Amino acid sequence: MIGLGGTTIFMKIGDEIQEVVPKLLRKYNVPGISLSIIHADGESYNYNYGYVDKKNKDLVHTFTRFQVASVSKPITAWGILKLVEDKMLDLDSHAVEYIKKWRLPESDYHNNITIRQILSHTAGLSVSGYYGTTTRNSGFNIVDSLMGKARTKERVYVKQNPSERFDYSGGGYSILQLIIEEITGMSFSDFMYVHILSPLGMSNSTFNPDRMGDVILTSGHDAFGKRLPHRYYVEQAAAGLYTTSQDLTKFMIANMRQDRVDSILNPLLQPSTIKLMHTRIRRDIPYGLGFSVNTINKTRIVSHRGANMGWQSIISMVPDKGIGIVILTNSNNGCNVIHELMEIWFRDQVNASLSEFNKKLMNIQKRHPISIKFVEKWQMITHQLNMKK
Amino acid sequence: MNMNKAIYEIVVKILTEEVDASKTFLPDDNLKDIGLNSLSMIRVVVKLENEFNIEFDDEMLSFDQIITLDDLVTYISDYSKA
Repeated sequence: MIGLGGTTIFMKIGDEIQEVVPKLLRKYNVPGISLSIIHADGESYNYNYGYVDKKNKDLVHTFTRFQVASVSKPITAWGILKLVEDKMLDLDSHAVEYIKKWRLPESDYHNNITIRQILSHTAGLSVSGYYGTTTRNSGFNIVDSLMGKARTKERVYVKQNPSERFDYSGGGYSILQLIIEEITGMSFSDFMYVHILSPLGMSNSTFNPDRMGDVILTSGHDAFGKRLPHRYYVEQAAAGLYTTSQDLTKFMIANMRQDRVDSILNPLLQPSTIKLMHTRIRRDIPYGLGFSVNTINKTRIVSHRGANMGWQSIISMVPDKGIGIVILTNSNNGCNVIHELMEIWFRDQVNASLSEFNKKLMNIQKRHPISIKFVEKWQMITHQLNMKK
Repeated sequence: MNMNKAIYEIVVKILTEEVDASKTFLPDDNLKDIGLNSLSMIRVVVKLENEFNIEFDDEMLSFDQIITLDDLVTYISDYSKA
């Protein structure tokens, strides 16, 4: 149970959040937010403010789903590590050994990249991120995406010497998506639901937009608050999760209950596996297996940022202290709300102030709406050029 | 002071595993001038972390904050105090 000290801390940050968040939404023209303040050994608090969609004014509530972009990656990593524990996959085996439906293109570098390298973005792979499509069923599958035939015309290949340096690749996670499908014979979204999301109690989460039923999904918005067309991602492992802050709270608690593997809160992975995922792949690379890893004010922070067109999100935790935060927003300007809330969380919960160096490392910097608008335009133009290739 | 001296000696011992050990190190010596580069600095950090059971802040992994041998010793010493 939570101690008195813990309760006091939570009341303090809880009061501040209730006061600050509505102001932040107005200040940055962000329609809606769902956030959780987590204590793995005690109570966690969920806060929901603003609108699902600026137009129809439906309110965000506990069960409102958000598209969480690259926050999908740590959950995908759990799927991969589950297969590793079940001896269906080896972290140091070559990825190509598991794939029949697609061939990694020949390049100037060797193609013997491992699952471990892909998980940690050190395989030297191309395709940093995805833009999605406004068509719900585009007819493309993950192999089309890997081959550069889908809406993102960039193909996945080894563009630099594997293992040399950290180079963020969503493309790598698309390879992992295909591997999961080939090994299990299930669709990626079904495998993840049956073997990860459901056992963790994340019943309002899915990688498959067709499985969402009637639940409310937030619309994405641009830097000035204009509603954007919904974008879908065939690259589910890298960018396709729909979830709630409450479900992500369950995921975070599972990541922090390393000593209680048989507990209902983490029925899936061994503590040593979780520890491995939270450990940097190399001391000078701030990433483990599916998670960013930073040390700030002597505290190890395990997190992941998510940014898709129209949505901004973050999960962040201190496993040693059993504390965490989830912030989900439905706006490109959500990065500024995240920036201010992370400053508060670090100050109140981690007892650290965030330097510009650390903000950059964690990708939680303040951004001017004009520069966000510029990025929106730039992404759209690049995407259109890719389409014409 | 004694603790700092003990830390200093361990730091020097670890440094000599990475750079030319024929020279005598002084507290004000610049770590780059001693012969450390970004890769060997990381190796030294890893060894120091294991030795002292600490974890360097990300900000400390470059030569921007920890410039001299004394900076390195002070960081470790202050870490244990807090």
